[in-house]
Amino acid sequence: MILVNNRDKVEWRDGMTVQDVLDAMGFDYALITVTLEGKLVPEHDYNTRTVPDGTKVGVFHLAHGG
Amino acid sequence: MLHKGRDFVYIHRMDRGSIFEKNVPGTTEKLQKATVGIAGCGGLGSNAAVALVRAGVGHLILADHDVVEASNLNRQHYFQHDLGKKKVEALASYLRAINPDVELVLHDIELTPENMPGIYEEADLMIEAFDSADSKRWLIESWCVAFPERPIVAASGVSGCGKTESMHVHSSGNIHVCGDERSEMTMGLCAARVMMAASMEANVAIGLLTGERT
Repeated sequence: MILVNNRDKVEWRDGMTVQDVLDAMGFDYALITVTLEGKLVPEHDYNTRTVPDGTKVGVFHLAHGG
Repeated sequence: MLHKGRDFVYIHRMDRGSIFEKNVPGTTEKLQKATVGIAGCGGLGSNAAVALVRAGVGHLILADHDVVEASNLNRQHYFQHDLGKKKVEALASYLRAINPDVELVLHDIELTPENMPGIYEEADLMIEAFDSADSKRWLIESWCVAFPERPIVAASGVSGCGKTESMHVHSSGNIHVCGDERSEMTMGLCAARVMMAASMEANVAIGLLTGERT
C-alpha cells in the first residue's frame, strides 16, 4: 500500500512508477511537485522512478497566483 | 548636562533596541543570525518580507525584476508614490524603515534555474513568492537539487476571497506549501487572502528557523 499526502491509500503493484501513482489518484493538475519519503522527484523521472511498497508519497498542486 | 549630540545618540539607540521587545522569548537571536531568500517581491514576497523583518530576521536576499504598477496596490506592500519604481528598491526602503540594521542583498534580475543557486547561496531558507505556477515548480525543483538540506516554503492557491478554512500548510521533507492548492489567479486576487498566504509562509519560516513547530 502507498500512502499519498498522509491521507489517501493506493494499492501497490510491482514496477509501479510515480506516474502510475498519479494516474491511480486521478490527479489531473497541470503543475505538481512530487516527493517520495520527503525527497523531491524531478518531473522528468515520473515515468521511470519506481515506488517501493509502503512509500509515503507527497503530491503538491501548484496554482497560479501571488 | 549631557552634550546634545550624545543625548541624541542615546535616545536613538534606545529606540532601536526596543524593536523586538515584544518578540517571542528566545526567537530574536536565532532570527537575527538567519539569512532568508525571497524569490519575487509581489503580493507574497513583499508581505512575507515585512513579516520576517518585523520578527527580527537579520538578513534577506531579495530578487525581482519588475517595477511597481497600479494593479499591484490591491495586495502588495507598495504605495502610490512607488509607481514606476523598482520593486526591490521600494521594498528595501520599507524594510529599512522598520529595522535600519537589517542586511539586505537586492537583485533587480529575472530569476532562472541557472542563476538562482548563485544568488541564494548564502540563504538558510527560501521563500517562494512567484505568481506563475510554472515558476513555482522550477524554483522548488531547482532549490531541492541545489540545496537538498535547506527548506523551501512556497505558496499555492491564494486567489479569490473568503474560503479562509481552506488555507493550510502541506509539508513533505523540506518542502512546505501554504495556501489552498486549488484556487487560480483567474479568480482574481484579494489582499486579505494573499497576505494570509504570505504570513503563513513567513510563520512557517520563523518556526523552522527558531526550531518551533511549523
